[in-house]
Amino acid sequence: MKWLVIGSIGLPMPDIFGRLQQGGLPHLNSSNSAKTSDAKKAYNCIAWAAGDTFRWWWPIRRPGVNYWPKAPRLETIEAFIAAFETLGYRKCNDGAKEEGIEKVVLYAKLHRGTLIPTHAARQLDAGQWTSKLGIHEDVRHDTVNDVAGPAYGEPVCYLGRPRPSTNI
Amino acid sequence: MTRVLSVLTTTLACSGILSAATWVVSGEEPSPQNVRAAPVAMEYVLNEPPPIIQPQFGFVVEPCIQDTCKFSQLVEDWQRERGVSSSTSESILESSAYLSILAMGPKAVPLILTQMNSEGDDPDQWFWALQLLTGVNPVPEESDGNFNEMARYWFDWAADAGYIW
Repeated sequence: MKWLVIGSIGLPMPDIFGRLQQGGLPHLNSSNSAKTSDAKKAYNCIAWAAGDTFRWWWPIRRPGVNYWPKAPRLETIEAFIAAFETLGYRKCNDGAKEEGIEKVVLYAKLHRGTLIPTHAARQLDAGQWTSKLGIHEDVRHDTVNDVAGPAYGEPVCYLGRPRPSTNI
Repeated sequence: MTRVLSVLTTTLACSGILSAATWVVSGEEPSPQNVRAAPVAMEYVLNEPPPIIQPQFGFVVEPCIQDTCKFSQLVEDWQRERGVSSSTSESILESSAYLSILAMGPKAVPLILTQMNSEGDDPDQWFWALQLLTGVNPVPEESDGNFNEMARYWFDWAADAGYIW
């Protein structure tokens, strides 16, 4: 436990991983992941996986709420795949690191008997993954399973495309 | 005299003749100036109805302290309920706190605008609520999802519509 001294009162330092574990990411910890940004509400995990840090991506049909590319505005795996296909991604077999290929993994969980997309993570050059956690921080994590759990469910689909020359 | 004092202290606060009431209540020695003022004040109070402050109706809805407190609590609850979810459906439509804000009706609009203003360059997802509560969408399609731009469009619209936040 780290302590932050404010005046003469010692208070426990906010533990990002404790908070995230309580929030439904039980596998995330300081040995398999690291915070890489401050919390920001401007973009979400789908936007972050797609390389956009200015918009919140979600297939809401009502205009004036969220951004969604030219793809079906449905909360289905197929619609999310179609959204990433607009960026040049195509389905691939797994999340194994491949030279020159940038990969994205989609997560989903069962909701009333239907598989609903919940999260996306993008593979980094070194083979690790990067996730934006809702309105919270970006984290780098070693494996796709590090953010699996009650909040996001399980990884269900991988997509890949030739890696762009620069990465955010 | 007691009755006059009572009437004065309960009705003169907004009438612009408070100085006369002060003289009557304080019991200070009458001067030529306040001797003239006192009868005018009493006559005004006894013979004329108290001034009526017209409430302002229209788009401007002044939230009361109780609503402000309730709203603040709901905002806090919403942040907790949404957790790490990126899903707008999950974090809004399945959030009892967000739905409770919607249930507050039009009086929530200035509270939302105040909250969104306080969030500076990192505004939260208030746009769905604003749409449902006002019945309009001032955001052009090309700005969908860009919360900073969306917030600016909403502030411009709200200012034109007469909202104060």
